[in-house]
Amino acid sequence: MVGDVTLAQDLVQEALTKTYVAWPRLRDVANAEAYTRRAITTTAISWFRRKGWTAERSTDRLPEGASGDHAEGVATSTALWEALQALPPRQRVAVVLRFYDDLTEVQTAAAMGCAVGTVKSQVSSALTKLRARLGDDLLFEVKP
Amino acid sequence: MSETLTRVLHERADGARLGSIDVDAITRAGARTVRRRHGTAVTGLASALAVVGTIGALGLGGTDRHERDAATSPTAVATVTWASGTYLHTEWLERDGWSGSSSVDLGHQVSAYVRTARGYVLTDGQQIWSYVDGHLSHVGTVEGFFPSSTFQLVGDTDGTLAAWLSERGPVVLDLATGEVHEFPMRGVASVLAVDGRAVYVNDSQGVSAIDVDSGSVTPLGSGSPPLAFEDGRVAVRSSNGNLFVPATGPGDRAPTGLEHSNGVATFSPDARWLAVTVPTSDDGHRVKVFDPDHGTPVMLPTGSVSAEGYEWVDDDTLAVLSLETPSSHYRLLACTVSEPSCAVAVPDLGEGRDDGGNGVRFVLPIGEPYFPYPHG
Repeated sequence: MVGDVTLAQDLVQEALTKTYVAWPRLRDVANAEAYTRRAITTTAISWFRRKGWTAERSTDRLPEGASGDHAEGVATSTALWEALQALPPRQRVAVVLRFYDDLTEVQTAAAMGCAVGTVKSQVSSALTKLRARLGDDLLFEVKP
Repeated sequence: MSETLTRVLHERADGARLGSIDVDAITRAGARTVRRRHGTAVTGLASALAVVGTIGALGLGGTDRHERDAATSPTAVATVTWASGTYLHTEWLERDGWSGSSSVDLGHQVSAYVRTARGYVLTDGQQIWSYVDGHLSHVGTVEGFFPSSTFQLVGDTDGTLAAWLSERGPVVLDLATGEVHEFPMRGVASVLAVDGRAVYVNDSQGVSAIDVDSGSVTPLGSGSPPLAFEDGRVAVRSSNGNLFVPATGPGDRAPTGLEHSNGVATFSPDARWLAVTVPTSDDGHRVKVFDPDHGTPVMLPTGSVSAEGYEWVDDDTLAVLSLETPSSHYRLLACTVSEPSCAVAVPDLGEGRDDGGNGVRFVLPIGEPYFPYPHG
């Protein structure tokens, strides 16, 4: 989501602090995970926005095409990772929640504090940018 | 879904070597936020008494009454302020009713601000400015992330100081002179309050008071810090959950157990009243004002399902953030404790939440963004 381990640790620390603060009012402890996920998501977006990181990140290297061997597999992963880091924050967050956390669109919307339609458009825009950058071959089997 | 995308995300996540979570840091930062919001801080009676005794002996806390009147005069009116976008809005209430309002474009997004008797200190989350007599001056930089539980502006509504925490230690701005004082200190977790010429900070060892003029730092005691400071008085919570204001002199007697609940507390500028806001079981808040010397509670007729006392605008007037019904827009009230009565100062602050769910569209003079529950 943030592409940096140190930043990720700060983010988790901050999100857990917010969960600690909200704990007496969560009523159901089962809500804690969803609350923390939302805290991580909104805090990350907020940090990026405040720090002017909303612009897409540039990368020095152009992605290389993929083929079957291990070396090219690594290159593919690197290229895709760099392309992910270049996405705008909200699109990157939406992709992580959908494709890493495996959340539904409804769950993603709840975590991001936005409408389901916004999630759809953010993910769609992200995949379009990834395809444009890497080509359809790299993002095979993309389903709506 | 893209198998490649999912695989890469999992590979990267699995390969990341995250350090262990610092639970102590979380609880320290959380307790501080809780203390200011929906408080669960537990303060040992012994350490609390040590703190208040030391403050009294130091004579640091508070502003001399004459000095304070001079600082606030000639405004015998209550002033309620809030910010939205780049604008600072002000409403004046005189004894015969609301007399006027103004909106000033400060040219920078106001993400948090505090009010002092001499002017304002505000931040857009990156830079810090003062706003005094119509002049905006850059006075500092936010170090680290914003909003976060580790950065907050603090100000003294009946004094001229405001303060915040930098990576090197507390930074204090005197809005009367424009002087910025830096106090390099290691391990300061938060700047708790400014009161008169004293700045109160908290670290793992406890609470310390900094005399801004001499630079001397006096440890005041260990344990969780008080919830409110004013004129040498503090409001603390005992281990059994009772909020109380310890007596300040050997002959004084103060009641214990003003309120038994989690809450945030703030003294009136003359320390005559203590406003306590506590969360209710239906996700709202209620505010009650106490005479800390006698324990007498005053219920303010807010006419609201939720009411939070967030700032004293003079010795007898509490500014209250209110929701008339659960579906209402937020409004601001000015409540006169001695009557008691409440008048609507700002009838509609708008719907509240911003598009990203990161808080509300308006900013109150509490030194940090206001987050209604639940927030990220």
